[in-house]
Amino acid sequence: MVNKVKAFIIYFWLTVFLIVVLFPFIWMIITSLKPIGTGLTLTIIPRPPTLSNYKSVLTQYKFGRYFVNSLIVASIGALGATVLCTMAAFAFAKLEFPLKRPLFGMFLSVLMVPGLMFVVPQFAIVYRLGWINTYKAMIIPHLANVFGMFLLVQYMKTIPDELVDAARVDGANNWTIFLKLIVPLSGAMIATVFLLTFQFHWNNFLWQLIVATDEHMYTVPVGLAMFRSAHEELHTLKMAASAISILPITMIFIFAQRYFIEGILRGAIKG
Amino acid sequence: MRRFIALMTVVIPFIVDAQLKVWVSYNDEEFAVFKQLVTAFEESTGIEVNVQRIPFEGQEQKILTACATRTAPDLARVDCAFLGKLAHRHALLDIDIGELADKIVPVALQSCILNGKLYGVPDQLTCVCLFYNKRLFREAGLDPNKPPATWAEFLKYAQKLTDRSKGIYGFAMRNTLWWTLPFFYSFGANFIEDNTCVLNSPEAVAALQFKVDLYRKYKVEPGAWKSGAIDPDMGFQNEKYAMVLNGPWKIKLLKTIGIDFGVAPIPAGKKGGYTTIGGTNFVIFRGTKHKHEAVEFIKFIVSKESQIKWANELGQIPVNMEAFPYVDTIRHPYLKVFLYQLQYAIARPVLADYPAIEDVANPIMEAALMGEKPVKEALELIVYKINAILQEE
Amino acid sequence: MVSRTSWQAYLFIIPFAIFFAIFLGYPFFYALYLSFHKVTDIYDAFNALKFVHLHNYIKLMKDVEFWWSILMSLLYGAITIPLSIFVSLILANLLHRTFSLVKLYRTGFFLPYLLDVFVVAIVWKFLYAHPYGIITQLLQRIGINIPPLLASPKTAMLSVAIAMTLKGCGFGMLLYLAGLQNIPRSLYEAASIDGAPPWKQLFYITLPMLKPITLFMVVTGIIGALSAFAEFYGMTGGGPIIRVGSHILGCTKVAGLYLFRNLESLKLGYAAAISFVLLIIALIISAVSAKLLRVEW
Repeated sequence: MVNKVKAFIIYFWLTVFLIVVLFPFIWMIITSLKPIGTGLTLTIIPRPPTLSNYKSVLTQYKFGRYFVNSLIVASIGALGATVLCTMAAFAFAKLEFPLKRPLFGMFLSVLMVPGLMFVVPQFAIVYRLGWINTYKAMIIPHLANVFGMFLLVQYMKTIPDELVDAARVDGANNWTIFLKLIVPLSGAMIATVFLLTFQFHWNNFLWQLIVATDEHMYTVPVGLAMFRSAHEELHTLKMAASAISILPITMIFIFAQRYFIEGILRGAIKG
Repeated sequence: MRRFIALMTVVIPFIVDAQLKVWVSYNDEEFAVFKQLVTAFEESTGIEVNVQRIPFEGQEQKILTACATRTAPDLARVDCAFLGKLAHRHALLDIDIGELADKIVPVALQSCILNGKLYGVPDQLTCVCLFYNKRLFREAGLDPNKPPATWAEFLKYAQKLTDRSKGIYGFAMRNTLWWTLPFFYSFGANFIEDNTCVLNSPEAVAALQFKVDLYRKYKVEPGAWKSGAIDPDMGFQNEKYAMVLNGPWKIKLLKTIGIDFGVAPIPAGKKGGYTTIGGTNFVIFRGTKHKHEAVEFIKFIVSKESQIKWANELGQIPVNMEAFPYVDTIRHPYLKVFLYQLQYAIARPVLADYPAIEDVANPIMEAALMGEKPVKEALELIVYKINAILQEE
Repeated sequence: MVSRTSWQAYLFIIPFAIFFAIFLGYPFFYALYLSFHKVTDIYDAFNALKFVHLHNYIKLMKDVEFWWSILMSLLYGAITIPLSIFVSLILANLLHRTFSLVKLYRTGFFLPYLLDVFVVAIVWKFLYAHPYGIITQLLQRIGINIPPLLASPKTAMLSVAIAMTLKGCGFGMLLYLAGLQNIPRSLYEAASIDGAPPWKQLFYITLPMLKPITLFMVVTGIIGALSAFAEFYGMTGGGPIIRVGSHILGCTKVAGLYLFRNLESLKLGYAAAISFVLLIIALIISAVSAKLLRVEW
């Protein structure tokens, strides 16, 4: 009985906190249901609620095309980056080799310089390679995801070394250890890195705008930016657009949640 | 190291395409009309035009990246502040549009002239007027068809309109320099003379003091300029603020929401009721291979015929004065006020770094509004800091 | 213990390192090179460079506004980092169990993390708005009068920090949840047998085992605080102002805003110098944190 009361109190506050955390999200949805031009009104309930913002977002411009472009860039980009990050992270977390710390330090240093500084030289390279206005230009410069690699290194460090040593005693080589032990045990974090890289590409407005020289190559964030012109900010449309744009990532998260938190091989080491 | 860097330099492509590349950042309706104009231009001249529509947000970075790597288009549409930045740094070609220059609204054209050379041609012109809520006027016992004509009258109106118990204020303002210029100008102050900021004149002090008094002394202004406050746009749309300064871009939205509002010229100060101007201009980039065609294109866009179409279909101020008599003021009644106000407008100086000037001026003006610094002292400091920026280039 | 030193490690790193070298390494060194130069022609950012020695750095050292912006960024980090670690840990511990609605809770807490920072900033600006914003109105209804949160120097930074912590805590929760999976249950069982109460288990087992993740939160938190931009751009624009001696400074004018303004002003060399000073500060704080947490990295 005492436990039940305790649980009730905990989950009551958890629920209150959840509502607070979700409030901006709820406000976004509410605003997106208000008639165009009333985005700045202070009423809580839209009068009358309308789906016209969603309709405008989806029918104006070539939204379908932008969506496909974004989907291609985000999924290939995320897949590639996740593979590269996982491999490199394994070496840094579980292997010893010369120059390990300087290399890692260099990788991390780059993370600390604001990305805006890199835009011009990156564009020059992409232009030299003749990649302007292609998916390649949007994907390849962001394959080396230092943030994701750092995250995986830190996570792999929480995997007990004894497991690796035991596998080695059994005669496993580095590839086997990587594929059969580390990858399955890091499943949750690998999935998270995939999700984060996907989201990064899904929101990578500035870079995708800069390398696209043709409206057919515009992506979702670039298309959404069209809603803002010089002076007016169409809040209702912007909120509807934001709601639509986070839909794919939310779907991935909801349907694949098991992998994000529990990993693919759950309980392998719970012993 | 230098060689290593030079290795990555982008070489100008040798293939010359006959197309004119143009980047524009119009909104939906504007773009639709623009497309029609482009088609008409292509048909009449045989010059092919490749238009890329880019979002307003992010256009500056896109254009600057393109410049740095010599991949800029032939033409682009940029706003006044950005034009100054590009022109001062020699990224633009000067433009000769011949006699047509005499037909363009002078203040708009002057806002593109640097050292006697024309670096852009306005395609869109805006200015600021006084917007007032007619319903709130009636409730306060004021005649909704008689907006205030002078700042003294304006203050009386604002006091009548303010009802703090209902949260209604007579006026709401912004604190940025651009939005304060109408005050400075109509009190008879100048902004920049001979590349020197002169905002410390007695007239300027009187203008800023008036703004400070609206908030501190008369309390007819709620502090809409504070971070996180209900800003003038939001308050006017929610019928909390009775009078605000605003531009023609807001008319359509206010009509959509169904606000009963009127537009009046800027109230007159010592000098008269002067406005500041804004807008966008077409510029030609240094790397173009089609200067002649680019100039022809610009001339077509600002021609009398194009501008009549532009003004009447979009309800905007035409940049070509020859189009003024053809503006359909029955369809666009508010435009009449803006066209009148344009006679009392002051051009924007073409500055190398206007945003930096805003950035130093705004916090100091805020200090004056907060009562943290006397107005005179604040303006002396602003002048000192702005002049440091002006001398830097 | 089997030796883990291996040249094979490079095979795992090379694919990552190649893309890194071309698309991040080169721009990194270009930016470093730029920080000792002045761009003389924006139409040729690669060749039209004038060597100015340490001029950009010297100017930076003397720039009061820069150091103030660093201070404000550090203040922002000092609020957000401990707060989000604390909130994330609590959430992870409460949701690290199976009950019927656990997935709903996890999704709910994580959802805001996926939203664009700028969009969230705009929404919070509405919520904080004075006097008609929801928060002010709600508190007024229960009899609490609050000052305009974003307009008063005492609360502006805190308000932004709280808004962003609420947005980001779901991510920390996710990391800690995943980390909790890797703690062998046998450790807890042994502790229970020894009679260690739950709070002792938390401090002696859970927290030490999660240290690498905490370090990740700290390091990325510092980087995030030093480069934070959109939240301030959207919510406060750097204000409200405060007088410090003879200077008028913005209470939320953080380093990210300062860097953005210099980039906007096309002071590319100067902006590059700012970036490298930020890098050094981030490195120092990260190294100190690693020392304090006693984690190797």
